[in-house]
Amino acid sequence: MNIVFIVNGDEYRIDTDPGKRLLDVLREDIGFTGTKEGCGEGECGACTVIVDGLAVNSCLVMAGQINGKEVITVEGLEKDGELDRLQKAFISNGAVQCGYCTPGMLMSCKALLMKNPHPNEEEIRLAIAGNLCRCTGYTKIVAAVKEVSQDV
Amino acid sequence: MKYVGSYVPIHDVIEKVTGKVKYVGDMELPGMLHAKLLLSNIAHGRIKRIDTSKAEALAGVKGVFTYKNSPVNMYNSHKWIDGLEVVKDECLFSEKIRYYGDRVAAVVAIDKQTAERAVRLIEVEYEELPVIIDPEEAMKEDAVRIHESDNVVFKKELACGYPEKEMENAFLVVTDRIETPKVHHGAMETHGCIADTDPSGNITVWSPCQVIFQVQLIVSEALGIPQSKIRVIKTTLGGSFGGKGQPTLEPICAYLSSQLKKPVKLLMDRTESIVGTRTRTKTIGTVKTAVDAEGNIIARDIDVIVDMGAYFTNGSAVAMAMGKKAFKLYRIKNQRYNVVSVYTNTPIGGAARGYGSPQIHAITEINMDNVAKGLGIDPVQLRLKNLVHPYDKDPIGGPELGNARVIDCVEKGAEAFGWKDRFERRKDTGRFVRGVGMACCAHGNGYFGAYPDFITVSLRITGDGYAVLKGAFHDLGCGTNTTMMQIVADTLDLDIEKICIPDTDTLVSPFDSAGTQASRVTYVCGGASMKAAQMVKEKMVRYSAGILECNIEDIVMKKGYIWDRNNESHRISYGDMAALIENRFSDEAGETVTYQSPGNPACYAANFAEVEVDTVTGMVKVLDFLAVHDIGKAINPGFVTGQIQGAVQMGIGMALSEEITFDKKGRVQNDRLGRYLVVNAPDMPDVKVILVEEGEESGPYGAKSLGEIATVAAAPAIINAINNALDININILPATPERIMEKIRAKKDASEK
Amino acid sequence: MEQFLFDTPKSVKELIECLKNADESTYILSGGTDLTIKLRSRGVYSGRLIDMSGISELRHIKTEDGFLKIGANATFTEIGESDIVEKYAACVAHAARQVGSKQIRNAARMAGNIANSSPRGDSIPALFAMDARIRTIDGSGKTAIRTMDETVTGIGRNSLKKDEAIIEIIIPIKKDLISAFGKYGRESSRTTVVIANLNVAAAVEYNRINNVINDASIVVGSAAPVPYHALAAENILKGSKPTAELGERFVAALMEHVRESINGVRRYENKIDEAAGVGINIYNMLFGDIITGGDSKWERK
Repeated sequence: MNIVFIVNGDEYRIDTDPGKRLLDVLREDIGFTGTKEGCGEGECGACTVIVDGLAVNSCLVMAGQINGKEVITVEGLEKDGELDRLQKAFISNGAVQCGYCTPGMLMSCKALLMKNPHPNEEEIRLAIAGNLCRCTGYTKIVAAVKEVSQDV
Repeated sequence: MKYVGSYVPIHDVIEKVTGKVKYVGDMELPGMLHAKLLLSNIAHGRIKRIDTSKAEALAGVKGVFTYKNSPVNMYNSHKWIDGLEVVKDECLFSEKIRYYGDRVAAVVAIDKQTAERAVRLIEVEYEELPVIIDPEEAMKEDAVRIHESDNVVFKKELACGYPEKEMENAFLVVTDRIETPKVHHGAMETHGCIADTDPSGNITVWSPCQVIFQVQLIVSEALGIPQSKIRVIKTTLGGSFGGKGQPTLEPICAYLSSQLKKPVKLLMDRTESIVGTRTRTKTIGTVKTAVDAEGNIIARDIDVIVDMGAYFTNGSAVAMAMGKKAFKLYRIKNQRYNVVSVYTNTPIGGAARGYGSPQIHAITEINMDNVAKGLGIDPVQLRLKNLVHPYDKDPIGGPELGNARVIDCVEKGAEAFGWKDRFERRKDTGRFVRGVGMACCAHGNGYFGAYPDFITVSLRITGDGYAVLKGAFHDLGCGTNTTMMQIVADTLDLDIEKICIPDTDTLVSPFDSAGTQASRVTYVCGGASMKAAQMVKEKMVRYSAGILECNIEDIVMKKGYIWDRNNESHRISYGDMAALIENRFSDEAGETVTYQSPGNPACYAANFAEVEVDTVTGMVKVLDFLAVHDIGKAINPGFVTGQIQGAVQMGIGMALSEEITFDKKGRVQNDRLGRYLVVNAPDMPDVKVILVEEGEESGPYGAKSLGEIATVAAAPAIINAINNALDININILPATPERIMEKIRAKKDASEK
Repeated sequence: MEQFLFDTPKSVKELIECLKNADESTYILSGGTDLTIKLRSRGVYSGRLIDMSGISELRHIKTEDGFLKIGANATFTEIGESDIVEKYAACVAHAARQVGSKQIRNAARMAGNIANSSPRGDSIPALFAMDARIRTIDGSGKTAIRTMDETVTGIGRNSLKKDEAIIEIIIPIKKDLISAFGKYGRESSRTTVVIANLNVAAAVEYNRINNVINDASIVVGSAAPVPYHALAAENILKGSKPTAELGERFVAALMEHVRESINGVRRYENKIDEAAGVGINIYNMLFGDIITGGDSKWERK
């Protein structure tokens, strides 16, 4: 099936199985390997991407569902060679260790900030309740988002 | 010092936040095939019939492999260095199935989807055998044998003094039987690897591993080919925590590639990683502690059963590691540790952050609180009376404890946590009851005293001014490379941007005896890097004196430049000086050093927790958590606090929710993250950290280990807090709501009688 | 290699066309969060997928003719954030907010949760307690209305025909109605992103002036193959004044219901404790401020 969709601002036209997961389409068909698989059942959030402004698990979305949609992956956060404020905050706060949860974590946090630029701690923690991290205990991730949320 | 003691982001952080970093699952080689394993869906039996014809017939399938067409070279994936004696009970594919998750077959196909579909087409008929889940059942004489040997395959006793005799003189003896669970490591990256074979039969393996030379060794043994024909390249790890310490997929993948002469990628999904790799070893410990009326421990007796699971791997090593820790925390003159390791039809035990330390400390530290309760004294006071002091000797002849600062940890922690007030506070009477708990722990720094512990590193200043450090460093996501860079940058006094560490690769990296294991990296590998940097510095100073025609004492080497202190205006950069040395003296501004670990000091921690228990449902909320660590010196405090906070998440999991469970037939019930619950952000407390930095003389810049010990005291601290809240005695971890309610009910029933 | 066929109807009219040819290998999805997993775990690699998420006329949340109407395409996020759902069917909003993670709620639909008919689904008890109706349409264009118990018939089973899709959830708006939802996840202390081990929804008609509970609808989920009305608990509330003592009896009755449901199976015993916990929470949400004057929470003795 022919599917047309936008990823990080660029249009893609691909011919693929519409039952294929968005996660696999991104990784295998168009080379966006930044999005990770950690569980394949929407529990870990490593595969989180933003579709039409909302964070979703790309392992639970079928290719057929993204026809005409706009997807943002972790590769799309950087603009003109400049890291997004959130990426910078992750670095300065030490929110990255092994980095495997990082793409999904960034996308969940980005989606939150797009809707709510000044979330409180509880809102941040709930927004990433579906993003598991085994390295950081979440403290530094929450701190990074807080830092961005305090920007004017 | 410019870098040591400050936060520098992990070396590959830009690639990580932009999604550009390649984990093994992201790598693509030309012509690469994809493999998928078939794991057994029974826990014990024999393959009666296996029919792979339908899978083979599926378009795109390149090969199907089972015990019928693969070599039977027995190995033990725990073996990391030649000469280590091990029980070899594993091979690529087995006809006998020993646990739910045992390897039955592998399919190789042109893509992932085809491989997944083909695996479903393999038909297997089993002859089922009785299943043993419970290690105590496995020990019975009439128990069915899981391997040819007896199910009990290892027994050992460690002792000092006269525990039995002294036990009789005790004012109080407190006995506890405590079970610790089989736990999934839960690294967010599941297991995987890639192997490629060249026309001469040389195999290259890309693996997110902890020891490249161990992967090389195991692939060599499993395939029966020389180590020199195998090259192993470490890939970026998406977490390991010991779970990727033993090669599980690498021998299989290498074999598949060797047969098909193509690159093959073998990935596991989460379910396969949970059931089919390694787990934290389950243990059952019985501990008997004897004290005098003042609370001095006069004797202790510990019996431990180690449930190894279906294969031996590190069944004896983890049993010994547990025992040794029991002698390093308190001054106990009379103590006996007795351990047996047994096979069961359950997922395989292996290395797991702490390597037995979380288990033995859960057993002994929960018991310590019960001792305090029995004596009616504050558990902090009981510990302070008995904890080791700096430079105490190990009573069973182990390595010196070094600058052991556990008492500082407890004192500082109790103060900062407001322990006394919280401990003495009257208990809540309503539905939600708060309680506090604490626990201490000890861990080591490498293998010194037990196994060979050395690393060869090579450091060279290049003509363009970089310092290239070659060594088999295995960054697992904890900042190993950056830590080495900080040490070298400060020792050479060079900008950290100029320190370069090439990928860890058996063809490039000099030999290292043990990789990222045993909490040895900062202490041993960091020590080696520092030593190499010091030697390079000395060498450059020596040659510079010749080049600048001055006395060695007058050479200044600072901030990337070298000069004669009597001629400050003539400064030569490290790179230019390196080129001058090469040209004038036919020598490099570099050194290769084989660094033997100078010791194995103990490191310590004390954790403090406050919990709130819902007495209606048994749900526990961790309200507050403080971790205090005797770390010697934090090379990178940002990494240190981050690792502690993450390790506490793992410890809370062990205390409250994480346990691989089975049905009667030995099938894993929680084989996915929707049922195997780790702590997520809303339930995770903000973990506070205090570091005791009193320096360890033999460590680089005074540093000691952290990565493993950080998870050790968390679980017992939480359990002690629950016990404190409710005046109960939780003895099976994790303390699930059901188990807590059971104890609440038992207490109520007892008080009503 | 086998592939799926994929239809994306843009209107109910187009949906009917798609449903016409529906057979055993036709799967209807809205968010797809459950179906994606199900197809993979069952090794289903072909068939016809009908994606309803493109039908914008089914994305509504509105009140009309005395009913709260939720289109099949409204996501859990939208339902959970809706002021009118909160106002007229608080328990439905509460349930929507407690489903899965943010990512799941952004994609998944309540209609899909009903069609999935999992005994642990959170929407079903809430809708059942609210006496909600399910409006469906089939391949011939015929619409039908069912009650919740007519819809969900067993574990993962429902009365929907292969060519029939849920298009709307209809909830009657009742005067003086207050409602609440509560749940606990299984086997751990985790409070969010949990599959229910026990969930309970309560909808009561309570007149503040007379201080009398005129009617009560209490539905217990995850304790039996399908959610059920806790009749004894309902009877205790009906016609009574909300007091602490009534709360005691209510919670005890709820526990008794669950005790009966689990029928002595030991590994389900903790559901009884959870019934107590949920019961107390729900009773507090409904009447806590009335009993305590709003300063504290009501607790059982």
